Amino acid sequence: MSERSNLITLVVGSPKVGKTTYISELVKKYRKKVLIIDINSEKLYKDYPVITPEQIRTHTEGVARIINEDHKTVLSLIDRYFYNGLVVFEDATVYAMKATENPVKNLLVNYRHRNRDYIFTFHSLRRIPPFIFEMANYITLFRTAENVVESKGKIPEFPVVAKAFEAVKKSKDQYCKITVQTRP
Amino acid sequence: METHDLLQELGKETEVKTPNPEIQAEMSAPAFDPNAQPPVNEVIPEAVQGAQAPPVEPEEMPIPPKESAKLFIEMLNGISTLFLPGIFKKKLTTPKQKEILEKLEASGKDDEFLQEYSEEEQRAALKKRDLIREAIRGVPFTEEEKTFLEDPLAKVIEKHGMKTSPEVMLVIALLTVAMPRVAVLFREP
Repeated sequence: MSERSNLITLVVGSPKVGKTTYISELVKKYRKKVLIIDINSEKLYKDYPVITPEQIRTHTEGVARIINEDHKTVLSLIDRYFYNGLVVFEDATVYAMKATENPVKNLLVNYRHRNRDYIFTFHSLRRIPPFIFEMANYITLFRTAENVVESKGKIPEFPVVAKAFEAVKKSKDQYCKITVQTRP
Repeated sequence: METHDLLQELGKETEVKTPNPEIQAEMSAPAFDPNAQPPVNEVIPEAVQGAQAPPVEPEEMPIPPKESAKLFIEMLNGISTLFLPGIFKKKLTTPKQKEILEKLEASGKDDEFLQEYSEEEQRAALKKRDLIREAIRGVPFTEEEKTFLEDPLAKVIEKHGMKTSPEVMLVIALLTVAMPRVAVLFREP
């Protein structure tokens, strides 16, 4: 099996459309260690041990989660010590600040050097800051209550995303999702 | 429209990266022990300079789960003691029984029947009053009950990583202490 590049994925959808269920499937099948920034204490993650920010340094295998409101410290420790694994940012709206003062920026710069994959979840396309859009390889679209055209200016590969968005919207399955590639 | 299977994509292997020796050393260092004493003559290295220094802020010392559990139980006990008696009185008596009990209390003659109510009505009201008094006596947790609740609650707190800062604990403690005093305001004259 050939080696792939590291991936940044955005999972977008309104609450209760199946985002966390989907991500928990991805987490189960992921081959390396996983760290979930579980700011909402999701029930589906309850069996994974909670670690302190200090323990990011020694987290070497399996799935763990962090419930800590000091995002700046957590993100800095991930950037320094988390190699070879997947980081899931649940409800990543809290990181949607200005890029210049955002610790996520460092994470996005270093992810390939540290062999990290990222999954960010958002409740709508509208809430995703452009600097995260720019770095994303894939967007998994669930149903959202918004007009995709409002975000046209910041979405790379807009026609592809818009087509997927409309297809999800038209689907009768409330858990419908489509994953599209926005960056090779 | 080309769609992709993330399960398949993320399942593929990636090139493993190794941290530089400095970070490797930090990663294999034992976990931080807040109670550890520095060895005698230890040379404390100067702060790491430049962009590589992690902006680690002083770690907050969380309250141990058992201490949190004790305080939460005390708070629950305080809230129950404050509000349950009023709720019992309100829910367990009819308006008429309440009226009878108030009049009896005002007259100071529990053992005499009031002319305007039937004997049966007054007996029922007094029976309800005894029931309420007994219920109120049973509201505060006994020491045994508190101990019984402590361990399971501490385990839940630990399992869910619920961290309570010392400031929040202080507020809870203050409220618990102040509650019996505030309770006076809720008592009927």
